[in-house]
Amino acid sequence: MQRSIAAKLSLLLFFWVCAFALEWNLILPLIGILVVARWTIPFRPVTDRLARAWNKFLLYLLLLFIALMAVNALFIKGGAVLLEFGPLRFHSEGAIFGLATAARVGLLSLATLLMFISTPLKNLVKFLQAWGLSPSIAMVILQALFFVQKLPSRIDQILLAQEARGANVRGNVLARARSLTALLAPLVLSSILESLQRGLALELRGALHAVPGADRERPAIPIEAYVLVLLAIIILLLRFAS
Amino acid sequence: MSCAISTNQLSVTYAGQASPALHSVSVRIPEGTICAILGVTGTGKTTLLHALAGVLGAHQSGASVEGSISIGGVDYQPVPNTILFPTVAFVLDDPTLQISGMRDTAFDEVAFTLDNLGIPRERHAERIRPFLQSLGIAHLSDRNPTQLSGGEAQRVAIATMLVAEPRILLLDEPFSALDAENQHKLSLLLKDLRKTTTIVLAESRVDNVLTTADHVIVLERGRVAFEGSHHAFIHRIVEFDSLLPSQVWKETMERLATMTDQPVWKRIRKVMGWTT
Repeated sequence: MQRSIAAKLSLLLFFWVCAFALEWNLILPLIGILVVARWTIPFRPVTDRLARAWNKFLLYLLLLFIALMAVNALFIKGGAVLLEFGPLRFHSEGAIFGLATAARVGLLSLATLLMFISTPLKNLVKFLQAWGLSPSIAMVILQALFFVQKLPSRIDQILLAQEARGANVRGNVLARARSLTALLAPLVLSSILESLQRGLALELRGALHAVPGADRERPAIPIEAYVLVLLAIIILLLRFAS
Repeated sequence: MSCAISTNQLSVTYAGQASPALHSVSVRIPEGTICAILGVTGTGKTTLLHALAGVLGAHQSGASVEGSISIGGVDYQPVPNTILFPTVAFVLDDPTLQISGMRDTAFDEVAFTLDNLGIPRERHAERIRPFLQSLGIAHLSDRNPTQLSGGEAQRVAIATMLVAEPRILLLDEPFSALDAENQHKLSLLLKDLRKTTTIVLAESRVDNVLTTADHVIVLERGRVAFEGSHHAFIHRIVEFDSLLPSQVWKETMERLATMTDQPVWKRIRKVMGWTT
């Protein structure tokens, strides 16, 4: 697991470099690879909830592609006219600019998301601690982890409590929007309080004064991680050279 | 008997509060005893524990604190300004908070404390297993610590602190989440632990600590209403009926009758006006 985290972090670095350094026509195949990679064992989502989140994100990304291409094609005039609806004309140059922008955003976000949905955060923190991550930063990450884990059940509890008081929280969109105000205050307050207490509890166990990396075995870095970092450096050098 | 903890005229007023949470509290907790700090909600029990653990000094910079504290022969003026772990270990009232969530098994969860202390992995098993055995949670070693019941989580939380081998163990409402059987088990464990560790526990119900404590402190509105041995407390127990719901008061007195000498029980019956 720890070996695979090192490889994944290198892969993330590689994709980030690619997103900034490569042309859009080279980025699109990389996005395709990421979409397919989700079905491979190392990148399988940790939970079903995360798998659903990934699927939803792909849908939103598709909408982002369409929106960016449409808006840019409409306002950046140049090249051939691709579509015409009455007074609206969609130009190819703008569409390509929108596609390039969406591709970069898509590659960055998909690579990052795939890394996090396929890696239990606690394993990531453990890995980073072995490599010297400061205990206070580890504590902040742990707090975030707990907050995210508890959020759905906390929302359900608060909504149930509001419902028990007669509030219409599960009706149409308007009712749900109204219930949001009743949800936010208790959610934020209880989360802040619990975060403070959880932080204190970890501090009481000496987590804040742990020596970074001193007692943890550093996992060996697999060869593929080095190869990916090397590739990222080569891409960057080629980009600056051109 | 030497003194593990003492406070001298300790007063604490939280920022924005008119009345002090603790008012000139002077107590002496003997070494190697189980000390119960009793009091109804809001009488300053947790504040006193926070002061002893270093939480008050480390995190309540806005609070006004006067007096002094001595812990294990070290004097603090007015209170320690840093968490005193591992000399002092503090188990919070909600044991689930003490589970870090970093580890997949209860064993590893306990080992997290040892990691923080920089104790090598190869020594973890020998340090952890005896505590898991004595707490009756050895069978939970491979279970996910975030999916334990209240009582199980309580015992794992205590184990996470005991492996640090503290000189002083502070427990905030340790019996509140436990059923009768687990209360009894915890009571036996604490009695066993006092050979090496001074234990201070805050409780709001007197029946929870009646058979456990050697030394008793009763707080009322931030002031010490009683401090003395268990035996002395039993003699004056009827003065503190607020520490129990009235319906269980008589039941507790009857339990008391089985564990104290007959003259005391007679006196209590006389004071309470029970003729049967």
